[in-house]
Amino acid sequence: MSHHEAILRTERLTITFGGLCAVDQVDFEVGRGETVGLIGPNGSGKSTFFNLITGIYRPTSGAILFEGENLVGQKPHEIARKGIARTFQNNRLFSDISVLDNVILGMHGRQTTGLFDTFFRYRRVSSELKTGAKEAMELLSFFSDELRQSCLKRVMDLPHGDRRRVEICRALAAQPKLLLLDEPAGGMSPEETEELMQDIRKVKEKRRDLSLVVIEHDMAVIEKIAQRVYVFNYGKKIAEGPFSLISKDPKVIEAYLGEEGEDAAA
Amino acid sequence: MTELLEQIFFALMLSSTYALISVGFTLFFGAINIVHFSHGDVAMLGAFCGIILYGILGLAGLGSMPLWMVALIIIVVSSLAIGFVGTFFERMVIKPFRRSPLLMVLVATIALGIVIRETVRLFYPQGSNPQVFPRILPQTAFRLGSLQLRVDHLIILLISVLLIVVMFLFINRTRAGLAIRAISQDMEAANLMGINSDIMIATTFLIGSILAGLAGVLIGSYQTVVRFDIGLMGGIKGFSAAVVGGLGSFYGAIAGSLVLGFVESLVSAYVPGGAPYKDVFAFVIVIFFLVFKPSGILGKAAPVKI
Amino acid sequence: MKVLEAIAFFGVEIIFFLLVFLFLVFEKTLSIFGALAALVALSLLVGRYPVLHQFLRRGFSTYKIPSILLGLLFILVLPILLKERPYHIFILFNAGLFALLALGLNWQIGSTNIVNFATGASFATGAYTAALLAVHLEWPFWVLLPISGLAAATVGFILGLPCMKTKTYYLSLVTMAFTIIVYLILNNLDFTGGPDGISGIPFPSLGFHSFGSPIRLWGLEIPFQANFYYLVVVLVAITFLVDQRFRYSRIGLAWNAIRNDEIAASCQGIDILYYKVLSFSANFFFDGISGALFAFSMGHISPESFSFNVSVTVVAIVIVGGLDNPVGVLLGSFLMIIIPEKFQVFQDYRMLIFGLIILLMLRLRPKGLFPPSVRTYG
Repeated sequence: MSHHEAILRTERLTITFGGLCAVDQVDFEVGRGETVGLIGPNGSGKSTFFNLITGIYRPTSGAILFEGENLVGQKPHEIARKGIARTFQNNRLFSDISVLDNVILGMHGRQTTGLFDTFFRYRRVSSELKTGAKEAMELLSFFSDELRQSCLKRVMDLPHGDRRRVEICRALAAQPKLLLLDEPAGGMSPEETEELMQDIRKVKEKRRDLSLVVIEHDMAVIEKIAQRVYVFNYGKKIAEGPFSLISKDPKVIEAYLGEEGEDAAA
Repeated sequence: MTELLEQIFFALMLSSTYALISVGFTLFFGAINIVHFSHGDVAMLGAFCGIILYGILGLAGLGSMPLWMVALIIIVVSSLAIGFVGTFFERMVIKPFRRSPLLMVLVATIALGIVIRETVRLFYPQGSNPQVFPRILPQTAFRLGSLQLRVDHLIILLISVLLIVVMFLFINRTRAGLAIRAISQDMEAANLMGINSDIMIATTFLIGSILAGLAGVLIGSYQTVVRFDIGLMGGIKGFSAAVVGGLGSFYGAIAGSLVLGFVESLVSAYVPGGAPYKDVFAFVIVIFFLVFKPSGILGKAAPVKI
Repeated sequence: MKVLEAIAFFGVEIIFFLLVFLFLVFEKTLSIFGALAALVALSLLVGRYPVLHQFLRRGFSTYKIPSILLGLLFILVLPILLKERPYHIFILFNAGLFALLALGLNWQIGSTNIVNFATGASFATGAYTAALLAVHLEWPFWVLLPISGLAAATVGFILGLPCMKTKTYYLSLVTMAFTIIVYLILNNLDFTGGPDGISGIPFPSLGFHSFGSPIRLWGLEIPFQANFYYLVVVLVAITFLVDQRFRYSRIGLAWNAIRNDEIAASCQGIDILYYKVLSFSANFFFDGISGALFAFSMGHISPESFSFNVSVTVVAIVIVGGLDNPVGVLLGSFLMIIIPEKFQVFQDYRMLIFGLIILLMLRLRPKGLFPPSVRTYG
């Protein structure tokens, strides 16, 4: 951790829903340019943690420091404009508009034209959109040429694997400093997962100072791309460290096996 | 003081008739998550059915029947008939949109309401004019202590409360009611458990529509005059009551009906110049709830998983 | 495109306009029905055979300016052709008023998925603002037109604000309750004239020409309704251009994002509250303008014209015409307003037929007659 400065840090971050403590006093850190994995059994609060960082939920207590600034209480769109982008576990794309529109929308936070421009300085609006379209096409072709060719297709007409890539493109279009990926390999075959890892590697090569936090169930992915790993269970952080270490941590094994053990008994 | 108590009695009766309609709204919302806009118009059909039945009974030379029997027949037959009519509407207009976005069902039920109202207006003789509802309940007064109350209001109150209690028992104490509660919690799981959700939904509409038909007859009795478009306002009020109390909550529908019934009768009785604005008050309250507390008085806000 | 194909393309366009004209002009129910059936058959043919659809598209993109000019010519000349039938011009004007209402509503229902049933209220705001200021303070029409728009937009802003957290469903219900409240207030308040409304609104005038007098041009006398007709055509054209601007801008994109997924939209940096309130204000602005124009064309307004039914009618037009498709909405306005007028036999059955058409459309073509098109960035 010493040569990375922390770009995101949470201090005793907590949120309770009714009587349930979904995230419990979590201390978390990501360095600039670092890739951190976040694992844990289902329902351990990982996605909720993401929702807290991006401002969708407001924490009950604790702090979220992004580049030194506390994000608690800010709205999601304000936080997004500060440089945090994300994907969702169940793929929240804008399905009835085109792939291209989706990626351009990723740039919304960076764009500047507004109501006045739309009616009195339309040329600015038009050129901003055209530039956006060009950038979007480049982003799409960075992943695959096929994707670029289907840019005018509506998202709902796209196969599942492509949708995940479009979502990542949309997140990258914001040129974020921190990218949160929520189970990017969900539902993918081993070949698709391998392609996904290549894509992530390509992205990291192109943008070395992009920080990444990846929630995953596929341990192979975590092992290959994460420099450090956090493990959650029942909302608490139960382990932190490189994959080789935490995979042998008895608490971690119990958290996962405990779940499996229950399933086996039932 | 006596006047206030008499107003309260009237408000109770008013609330009970709204409750008959709002309970239906809340049932439908709970079961299949829709707001059935034409539910009020279904109630209106109950009133018209009552008028037609009265005419038939008269024609059949049964004028010699005691009033209570006439009233009973009209109430029972109208309610049941409208129950089936309401279920028919559900099959024809709501069921096809079960998997469609909510916007469609919303507009579909609004359109259905228009069709119902216009059909009555165009095809019932003199449909656009107000119709006299027959006096099937005694309009005499009786004394309760120092209060002077009307018999028909009392009967209406009693019948409404009775039916609502019956419905409550049905939902909470019978297997069919349990099935309905199951599908309103999680339709897929209920299906997997062997519950035929389609039939249960139809049952829900049957119950709701029977109550609506009853409401139509009872409201017709105390208002003595009905029009083809009373369903629009009545439906909106019944719906508002359900929202205020909390859509999906049975007790909420009752609570909401009480709130609305009381606001309406007390405003028109005690606010000077307020009578024509009583509806405005009611709607403002509804807007307040919809915007600030959509879960209503008793409803629980359902947490959304993101 | 070859010469023959070009001729065929313009031929189709001319036949289309001819049929529309005949539809408007015929008196006998049977002939009217015939013209309408021919139009419907034409549209169905195009829908059924992609070849024809492609042909028309090619023709339009090759000859964009001439075909638009031809259409404009038709629209301009129509009142002259109808000069013996002032009522028909009036109906067209009416359709134009609804087109203004529907184009604005489309930004909410079509682009943003906010199902707003308050059009009756916004229309009323524009009309009453114009009427009251005209009758009591004698403000001129041309000043009142934008002022009514602003008044309505302000109401839209106020209505939109508390709705930021309200879910789509409940939002619709709030707009319905709002419309009914406005209607009830207008009907009972002395200031607004109660059920009698406001009368004595003067005709607007342009220079020395009053809108109440017929247009005298080249020896022809065109009924005064044409004044309003031309004005509404200009306003509809402006609103259409505004729609295109919104569509191809950061705003239109943001609206579509909100329509699909508000949470994801906010994570892209979209300020949901701002864009929702904007949709309310923009929609209400044009509703207000339509209301002012309506007030001045009638000379007298009463609450009857601003009931919940108006809201339902405009929602129906947007649904039938095609969500998020302005051309579809224009055609929808034409169909839903003019057809009931032409079939006088069915005058009384109008609302019933409306309801049935809505039910039918929702079942058969829920996306409307015309689907939205994909944005291309050239």
